[in-house]
Amino acid sequence: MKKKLFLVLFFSLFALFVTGCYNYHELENLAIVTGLSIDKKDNQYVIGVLVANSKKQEASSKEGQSQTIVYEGHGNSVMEAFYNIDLESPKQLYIGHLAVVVIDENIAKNEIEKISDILIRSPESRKNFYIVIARDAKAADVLKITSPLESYPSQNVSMNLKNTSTYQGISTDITYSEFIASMLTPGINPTLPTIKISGSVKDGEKQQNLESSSPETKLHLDTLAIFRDTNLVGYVNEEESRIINILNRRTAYSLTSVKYKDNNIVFHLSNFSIKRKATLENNQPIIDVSLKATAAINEINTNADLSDPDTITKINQLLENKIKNDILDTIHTTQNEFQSDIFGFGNLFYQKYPKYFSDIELDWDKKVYATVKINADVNIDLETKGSLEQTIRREMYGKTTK
Amino acid sequence: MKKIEKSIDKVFLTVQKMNGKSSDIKTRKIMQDESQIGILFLQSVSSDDKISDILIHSIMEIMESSHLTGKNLLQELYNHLYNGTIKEITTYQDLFYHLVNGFTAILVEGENKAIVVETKSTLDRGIQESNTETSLRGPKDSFTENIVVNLGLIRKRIKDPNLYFEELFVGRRTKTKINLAYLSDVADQERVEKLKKRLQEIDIDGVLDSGNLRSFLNPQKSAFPKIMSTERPDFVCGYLLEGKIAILVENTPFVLIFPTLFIDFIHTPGDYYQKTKNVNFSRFLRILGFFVTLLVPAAYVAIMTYNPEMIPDKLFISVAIQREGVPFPTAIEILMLGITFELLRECDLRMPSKMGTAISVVGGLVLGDAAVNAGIVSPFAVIIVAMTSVAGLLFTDIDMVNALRWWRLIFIFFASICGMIGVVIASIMLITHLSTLETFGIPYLTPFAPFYLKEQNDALFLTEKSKIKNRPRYLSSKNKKRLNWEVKK
Repeated sequence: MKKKLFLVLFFSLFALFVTGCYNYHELENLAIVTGLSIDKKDNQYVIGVLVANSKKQEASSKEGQSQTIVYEGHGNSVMEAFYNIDLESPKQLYIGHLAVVVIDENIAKNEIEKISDILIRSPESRKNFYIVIARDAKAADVLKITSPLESYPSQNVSMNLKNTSTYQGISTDITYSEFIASMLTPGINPTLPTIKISGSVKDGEKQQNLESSSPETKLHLDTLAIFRDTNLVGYVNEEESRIINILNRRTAYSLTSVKYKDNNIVFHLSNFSIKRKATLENNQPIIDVSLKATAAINEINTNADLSDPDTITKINQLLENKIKNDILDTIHTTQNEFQSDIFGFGNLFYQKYPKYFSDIELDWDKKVYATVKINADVNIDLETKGSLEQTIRREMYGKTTK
Repeated sequence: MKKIEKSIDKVFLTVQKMNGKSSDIKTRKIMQDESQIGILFLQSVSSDDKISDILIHSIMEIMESSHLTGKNLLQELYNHLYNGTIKEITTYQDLFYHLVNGFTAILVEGENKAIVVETKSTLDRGIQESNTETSLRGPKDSFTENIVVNLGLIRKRIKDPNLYFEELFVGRRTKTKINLAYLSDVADQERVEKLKKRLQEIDIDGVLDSGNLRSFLNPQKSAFPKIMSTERPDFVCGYLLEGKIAILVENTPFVLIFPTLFIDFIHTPGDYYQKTKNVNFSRFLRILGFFVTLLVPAAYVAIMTYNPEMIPDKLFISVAIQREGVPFPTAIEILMLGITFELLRECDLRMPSKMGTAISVVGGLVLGDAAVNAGIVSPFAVIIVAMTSVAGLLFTDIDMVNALRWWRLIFIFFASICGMIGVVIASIMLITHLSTLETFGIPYLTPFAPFYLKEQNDALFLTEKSKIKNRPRYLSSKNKKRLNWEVKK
């Protein structure tokens, strides 16, 4: 009995030292990959991984600077490229805390589904990282550009995406699982945010880039990329990006401006409530989009009398028309120019008229979508004028000024 | 049983022989005319003052008067001695028992009886403030080693004729006096009888502290304490009023409370002295402390080695950078630090307080700074162990603290072999274990399992005290009403 007990205790203690347990790894043996870039060169995949916990980082973190390592690997598939990096890196690559994946434009145009598999199949990855397309730049370069405000380039990109998509609505923070979901759901096409590099990449990856108060090389987010099925078909402009994000319920706030008496009034939009309805009349698909929102005047340069209720009503009318036209224009652009249903209207038909949709599913984007009739109804509530009752000119000279 | 002989000298000799001529046996003969009186006492436990000033003085007076009237001397002594506790005995066994209890035996030549009178000296330190259970509010006095004083401290708080003290003796050699205190019209009589029987069955040579009795009262194997001890008389009275039974043991200030449930370690009777809302915050901290001390180190090991995807990116990276260069696996690192802390705590308990400074300097340096700078442990592990240890000390009962320490090791062990799943396995083990425990028929996890809806007003959190009108029903079925008062609007 005593001997048995001793043996059990001995082996129990021994188990603490055994590193062969499934899935066991000590933290210091992991290279924490926070950013991943995928490019293609000479028919081979080139992937870059941004490792956050390098020894260099430890030394530099005390001085408030950032230094991370970007490894690059080549291979016929993404996984092979990954294994090639493992040969270089003394630590095992760990993608559980992946924050951003940057994809090259050309890959996005042709074969995004080929590189998507590895990231969704790996049990290690969390699937909630952001995915972004490098526009006019090598994807690997995006990971190298340091930023003075965030410790890691990947952090820089992901925080930027998060804030911009919430407060502006030009870019959007689409996580990988959302992207895959919109790729797999019938009747909806994905959109992805894009990113650009301004300045030279060579300077951007150096520490000196951070020493200047206005860094030479910067990353900045660009407008949305539109996909049809799995292929990138083009980019929309800023105004269209905003509308797409509003209609897809991907932003909480947005901006828009209206021309009034040759000058601009800028509005801040919030409290969006979007209703989308699909109807089928004599085989003619119709989509009704209704948008309710609250607007606040952000900036006004015209000489309008803001205390006059009629003026306010007029401005409100103008704003509603402007947004309505924007919505219709944006949807028409996607119907005609890109032939891609990024709003998921097809999905509404799929849910409401499954039989009808199953007949046209394969033709939906290229043929049917362009023929869909769109009705838009916009209802804006101009709520506040901000901290100033009147325009500055009127505050100064009184109401008589013209 | 040997009867007391008629000759004083023979009695003196026999007693001295019984006790191996111990140095503290004192004898004295007083002669008045033909009457001879022998006085026998143990100096070590008797008060010299009482014997010389009062007892001998009064004996002299009685002898003189009885000589004049010619009455029976023994009877006269029995009737007229200036003393509260007086007994007539006939056997040596009784005689010796009384002697060691501080009685003085008075022998009369020619009588085969003896009178014993109480001349006990006070061999205790008096009522002092409690060292082990302090609270900012509430009475400051604590029990002493003197059981009579202890009983008095309870009696003076509960002036109810239904407060019963039942006396029995345990210990073949120590013959320790044990008192069961309970409210006869509240406490479950069956439980009292069972407990008494259990105590009487104990055949042990010595009971030096109430702790000796614990294992006999509760044979179930478990690290968790199922009998609570306290040295605060107000706490004991609080428990008595709830319907519990207190076991007072001679020569120890620690009184056992029976039955004790898991919930009693989260509560303290001091809770009821304070504002309800503030008490609830303290209770929340105690519950939090319970989970922190059990789970945090295990969760740390599990997350760091198996499930790193569970923590936010920024925290993860900063922890990973700290772990850089630490030579030991995470589990060993935590165990090492934890054991160092336990060593220091153990030292602190055993060492006189004058040595405490040396320990704290070494502890502070070793744990806090040097180990991290030397790269043996990561700073984050130090934080984890510090947090765990401090949270564990929230419980005043030392047995509870030790039980948590033991289970913490089990949790770390399972976390180190199968990660978060291991923590879950250990949690299931713990809950199963706690559910199997019971004290005299009451499940340990009452009132959670079995669940008593009506007792939840004082289970984890306290509702307004004026709303708790009944005693816990699982403790007693009679005399439930505890409060009869309505809030006046």
